[in-house]
Amino acid sequence: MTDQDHIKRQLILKLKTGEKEAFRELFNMLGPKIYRFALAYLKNKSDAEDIMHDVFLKIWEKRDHIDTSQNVKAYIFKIAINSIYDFIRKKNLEKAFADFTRENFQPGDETLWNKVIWNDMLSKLNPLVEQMPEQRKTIFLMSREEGLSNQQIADKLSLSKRTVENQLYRATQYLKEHMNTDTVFLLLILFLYT
Amino acid sequence: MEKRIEDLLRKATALGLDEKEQQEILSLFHQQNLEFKVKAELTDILDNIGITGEESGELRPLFEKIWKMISEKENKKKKKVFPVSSLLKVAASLLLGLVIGKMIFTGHINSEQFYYTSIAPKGSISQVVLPDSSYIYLNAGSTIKYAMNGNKGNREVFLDGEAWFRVQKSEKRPFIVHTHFYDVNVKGTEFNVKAYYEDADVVTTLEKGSVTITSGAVKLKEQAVLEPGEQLVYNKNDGSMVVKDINTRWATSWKENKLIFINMSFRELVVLLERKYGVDIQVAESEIMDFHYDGIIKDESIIKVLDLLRLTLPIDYKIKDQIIEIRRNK
Repeated sequence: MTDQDHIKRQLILKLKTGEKEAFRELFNMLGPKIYRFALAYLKNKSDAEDIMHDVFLKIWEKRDHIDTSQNVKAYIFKIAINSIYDFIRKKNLEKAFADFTRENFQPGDETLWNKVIWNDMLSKLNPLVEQMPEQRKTIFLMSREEGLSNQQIADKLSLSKRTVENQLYRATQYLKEHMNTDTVFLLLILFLYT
Repeated sequence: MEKRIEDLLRKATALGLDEKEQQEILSLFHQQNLEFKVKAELTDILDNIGITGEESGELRPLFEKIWKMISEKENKKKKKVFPVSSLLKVAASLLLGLVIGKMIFTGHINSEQFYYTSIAPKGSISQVVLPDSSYIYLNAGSTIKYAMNGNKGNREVFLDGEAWFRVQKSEKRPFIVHTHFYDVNVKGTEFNVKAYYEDADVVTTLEKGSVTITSGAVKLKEQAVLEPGEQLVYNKNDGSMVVKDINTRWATSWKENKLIFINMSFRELVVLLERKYGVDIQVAESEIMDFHYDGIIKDESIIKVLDLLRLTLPIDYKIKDQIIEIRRNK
């Protein structure tokens, strides 16, 4: 820890009484780091500003609970990390969802992005997947979760490749139909509240 | 693996990442087993990040923006609740006016009052249009009694249950919703009142306009003015009043036959389903009552809803003699 980062107990006590200048001093101390950090991961100024809003609003709201006998900087950094972590997850899922609903989306894309983030999104939509007819669901999960090719699935289940393609098409159509605005909306709330 | 995470996360702060690396980094944020490790690593990176000095200048306007937001929020909080003492003074002067008014007008007011009653039985939602064209959706298991020429010529309704209102504007004739607990005073506006006698919470949600919540059958600690998008939750057990910002759709979607639950306990869900579908539900193990559930139900039969619940919670159901029995799935 550098001297510059050391947060004086006096400053936090002033903050607790609601002093704007104390809050500004804290902002000047830690704000630049948090901003620079957010910018590095989000690659976008307006997102980094959103993070700053979120973090400093939380600090203000929680100022009564700051324990001056503990490491205040660590406490504030924890708020910042959680905020960035949640923000990135939410953005990724929004993007995954937007990709998925694109007209020319091709199932079977093998990139890591699809494997991890797309599957995370899918898990949130599990109730919909669960409602598919048994065979379609099996094929869909083999394709999505196990990453098998259409031919591999066809061989495993002794079906024609055509049937597999057909079922996958129907599965994505079904999800598209049902992932309406309400689901996106629900997806977002799940984030805000879990 | 640990080393790989560390390298990747560190790399993110450098310039010139290709898309594949960027995606790999972002994918770290979606693996629950790595969450702790990733956060610890990020904290370390944040602690050691260098700043150029440009930032503080760049951030000055941002601080002012954040501060402005904070002061607006705080002002709003202060404004919302009036201290009773100053209200009493206002009330006293108003009362004097009313007494004089009453003396002048008594002769003209027809003291006979007619009340109409509308009922929405369990299992159905009904709609009521009042003589002044105000519009009411009445939720299942609710009763509303109304008089268009009530006390002092006011528009008055008495609600047991839940209703959504769109009230025609009239400065001269206030619209008052009486519940078993508090009163909601309205000019012209859209709002939802949930005041079932048996529920612990009495909830008013404002979509448009403005309403004032005042003491009615019970005495409130203070009165509250709501702004659009705000919800007042009064708990009749401890008398607490909480005003919060919400997405009003959550509170009013029932009138489109749609139920939205956010982190709702199974206990609340059972009451909701019993009302909406007019069924009796018995829950075998009390621990089930503490499950929480998120979901949206629209135009589904009770069987479909139960099937959906069975998929997402570890429960099973049986229908026996018109009663739905829910027990833990073993």
